[in-house]
Amino acid sequence: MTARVAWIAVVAQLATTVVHADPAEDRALAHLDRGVAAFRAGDFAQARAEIAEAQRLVPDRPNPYRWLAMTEVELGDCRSALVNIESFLSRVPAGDPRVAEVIALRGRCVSTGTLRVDSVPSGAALHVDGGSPIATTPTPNLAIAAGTHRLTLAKPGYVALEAPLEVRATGVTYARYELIAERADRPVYRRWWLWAAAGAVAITAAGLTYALTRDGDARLPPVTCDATGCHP
Amino acid sequence: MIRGRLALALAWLVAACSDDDPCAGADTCIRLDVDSATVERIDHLELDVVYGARHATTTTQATEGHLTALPLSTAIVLEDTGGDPVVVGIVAAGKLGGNVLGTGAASTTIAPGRHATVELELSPTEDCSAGARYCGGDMLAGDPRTLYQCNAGGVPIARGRCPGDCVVRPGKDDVCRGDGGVCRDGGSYCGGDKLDGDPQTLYLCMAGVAAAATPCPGGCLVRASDDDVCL
Repeated sequence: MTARVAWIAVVAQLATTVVHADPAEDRALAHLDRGVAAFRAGDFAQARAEIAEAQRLVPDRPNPYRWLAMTEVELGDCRSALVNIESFLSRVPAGDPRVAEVIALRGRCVSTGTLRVDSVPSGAALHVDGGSPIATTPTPNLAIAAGTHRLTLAKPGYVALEAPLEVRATGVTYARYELIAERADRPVYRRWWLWAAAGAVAITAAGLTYALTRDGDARLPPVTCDATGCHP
Repeated sequence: MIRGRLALALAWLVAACSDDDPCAGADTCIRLDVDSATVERIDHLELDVVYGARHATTTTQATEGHLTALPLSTAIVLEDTGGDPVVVGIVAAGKLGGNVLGTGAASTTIAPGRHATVELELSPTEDCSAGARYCGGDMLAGDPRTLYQCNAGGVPIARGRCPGDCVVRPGKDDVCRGDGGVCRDGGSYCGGDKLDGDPQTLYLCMAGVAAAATPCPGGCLVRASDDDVCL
């Protein structure tokens, strides 16, 4: 009699398991496992694709958001990572042991900014905080710790330019500087008028190219800010 | 003859450049270039501008009923800035039909009489709670060292730049961290000045912490040698 009851219980348990099996969960788990493996192997693009698929299959589960955020931080996409961090945090209790790690990740994201520097003339070496040159103007997007930095632009024939710049944690901080030619009177290539002429030719060419190729940005009326406030 | 042609070409170039620059003719001016990966066109651009110790919110828009496609540019002309360079923080909200499609933030330092260019990207807004306070970058676009109030229908409104750090507090209003030393018992302090809090609220210091809060609708003035006061 006891054996029969036990057998019935086992069958009932199996039936329950079969009823609750969720193919989407299984597929999501497989994608997540592959994504985590790719993350650990340093293949972050593949990791993002796999984990995003897992997240799509089980949008209510928190863990894919966490892994997605970690992957996006590695890919330099903090903007997306911040969204996934908030999605994760909204799906777990405050005491979840993964919360501290994710909040630290958010801190890392909000303390990094993107910097782009250009100069007239271009081709100047960019130094940040007195370090070695990291790029030549016009620079690509450079990831840099948010805060105030000391930029130095150096180009042969021009006075080295040094300026402080506050780099914002979100968005792109863009700076453009005009370099002043050095005074020199020996070799022809160091005469100011030679470079002025070359610069005029370059600016004319750039202006013509720009004028001929641009679509034309839309324009909104200017805003004037004074002691009484800002007015359109 | 050649000189004449060269002068003509240069005059054309200068005229062409001037026409394309929204700051043309202005003394102290920031050219604001706005773009977005997700927003195609707007009918209003709301701006929250913190310039030096001043703060204002305004809206610029195309002719009534017209839409403006992104990328777009506009100018922020600064007057009466004094003689020193000023830090300018800009938060923008692109709106269409009264709905905020995206927000973005940028800042720069500009010296009187100079022009600067700032690029700002509008991104989809996150779900901040209307009326709650956030550091820039925490649920809303802005400067990480400035405290903002979430404005569900428009651009986040700056409460003020924090003297020190702005502290993110999940589940509670963010605050400016008290900076500049320890508060004196019985003294009054604006939030962020020796006490954690909102820069537009005056707090009473009791045993080193804020004990009472008085909102300052006109702003809160930090004074070095005396109690802080509401303006």
